[in-house]
Amino acid sequence: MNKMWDWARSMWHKPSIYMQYRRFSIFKGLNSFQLYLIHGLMHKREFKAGEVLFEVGYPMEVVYFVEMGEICLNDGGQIIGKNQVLGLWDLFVGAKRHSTARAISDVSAFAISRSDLLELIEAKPAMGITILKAICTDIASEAIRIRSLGV
Amino acid sequence: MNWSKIAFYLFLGIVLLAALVFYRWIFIYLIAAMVFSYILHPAVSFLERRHIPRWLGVVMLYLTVAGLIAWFSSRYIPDLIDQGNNLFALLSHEGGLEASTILKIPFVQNVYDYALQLDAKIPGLDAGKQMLAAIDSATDFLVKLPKFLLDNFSSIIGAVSFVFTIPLISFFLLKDWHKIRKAILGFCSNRYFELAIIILGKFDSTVGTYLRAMLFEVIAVGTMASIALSIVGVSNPVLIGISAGVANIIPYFGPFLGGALAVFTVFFDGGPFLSMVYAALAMYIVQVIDNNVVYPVVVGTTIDMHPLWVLLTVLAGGWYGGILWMLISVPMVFLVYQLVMVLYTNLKEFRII
Repeated sequence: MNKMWDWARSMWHKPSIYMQYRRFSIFKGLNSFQLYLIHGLMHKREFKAGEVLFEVGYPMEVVYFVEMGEICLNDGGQIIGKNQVLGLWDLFVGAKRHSTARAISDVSAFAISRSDLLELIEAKPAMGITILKAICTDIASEAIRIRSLGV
Repeated sequence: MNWSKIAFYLFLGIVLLAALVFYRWIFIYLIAAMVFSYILHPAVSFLERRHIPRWLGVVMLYLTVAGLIAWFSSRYIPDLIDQGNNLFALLSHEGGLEASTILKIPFVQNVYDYALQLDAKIPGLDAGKQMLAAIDSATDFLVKLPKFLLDNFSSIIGAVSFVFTIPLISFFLLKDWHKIRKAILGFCSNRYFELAIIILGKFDSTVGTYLRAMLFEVIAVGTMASIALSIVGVSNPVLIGISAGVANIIPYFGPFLGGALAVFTVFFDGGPFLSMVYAALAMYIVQVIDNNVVYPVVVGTTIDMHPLWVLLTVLAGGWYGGILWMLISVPMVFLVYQLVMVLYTNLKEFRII
């Protein structure tokens, strides 16, 4: 019955293909049109297990949104998994990569150029504020998590 | 050794080679369409961000450009044709461009009379005779000039289909801008993906910004020169203004070409020496405004090339492909140099070389 209902609902209101980006926290607050603009700049990439995405000291240009699989930072450090973002903080830190990223399993990810994203944010400030709020929320959650660990 | 892999790459190479041979005629169309697309791309993106689909944005811009061209044509083309005919008549052989005709120009007549007076006072000087010889050799050169220009015009007329095809190709380039970029980057392996994004981004910003700035500068200088020359009373001001605007693309030497055209027009019209000074002054003021207001604001940075390199590039362009290549060779060499530098820096940083 539920499947029938979902099917009927999808016929009435087709889910946007851009909604897949809402799984990433920084795009959660964006509307369909803003996601459509983001979609124009996104590139789909596939990495095999063990493949290096980037190394320390490489120029920082691309932010990865992991759709599937896991990535390890600095061989044994932080693990970036499904629906997480890789390289977002580097966006605001500098022009070079601060870590080496290697795929632990087969990875499927969306990639966006830092220049393209910043240019879009500049042209659509409202969108930039939404993304900024989401990033602040993420940072606050991370700070609370670290504090709870007693570090 | 993996023979099947080698065989596949060999096959791929043959297919690519065949494609290059088959499509070689359309490369020039594609490059021209890319130039057109780079000029219009920011406007299409601006409209897209305001909820106007890209195809509709392109159509709207095409209609606007077509409207502007139609207005300009109805307003100025008849005048421009008249002005062009005047210049051709002035320079053509049928118009009687011989030493005797040149000597009828009041300014030249005065100089010739003065030379004859000098000859009378200083025996054996032959200043008058030498002046006639100089005028003869100059007229020989000028007589050949219209034929050279006409040869180029006939090739321009022969390229009407070219002009009409470019907007069509550009339409698809602009409409599917993001898809094309994604397809290009999709071919890159993960090792080179980030590098390719940086190079493509740099290419977009350098080439796009430069082309738009150049177009704006040509229009600005052309308009200012036309107005300035009208004020000082030079004939054919719009034609000379447009020529000066286009010549301005060549750094260092282009502005002189525009100024020389204005001064020579007054000279051949038989205008007094003072009018030549006014024409030169008008073009100088246009250059001052361009160099201090238009160029720094629009282009931002100048083409940082040594004048000797610019001269050699213009000469090489002229030998390679005539007037058109003389105009585009300097910006093209500068852009290629910039992109090679970016490529080299990034290949080093990504530890590929």
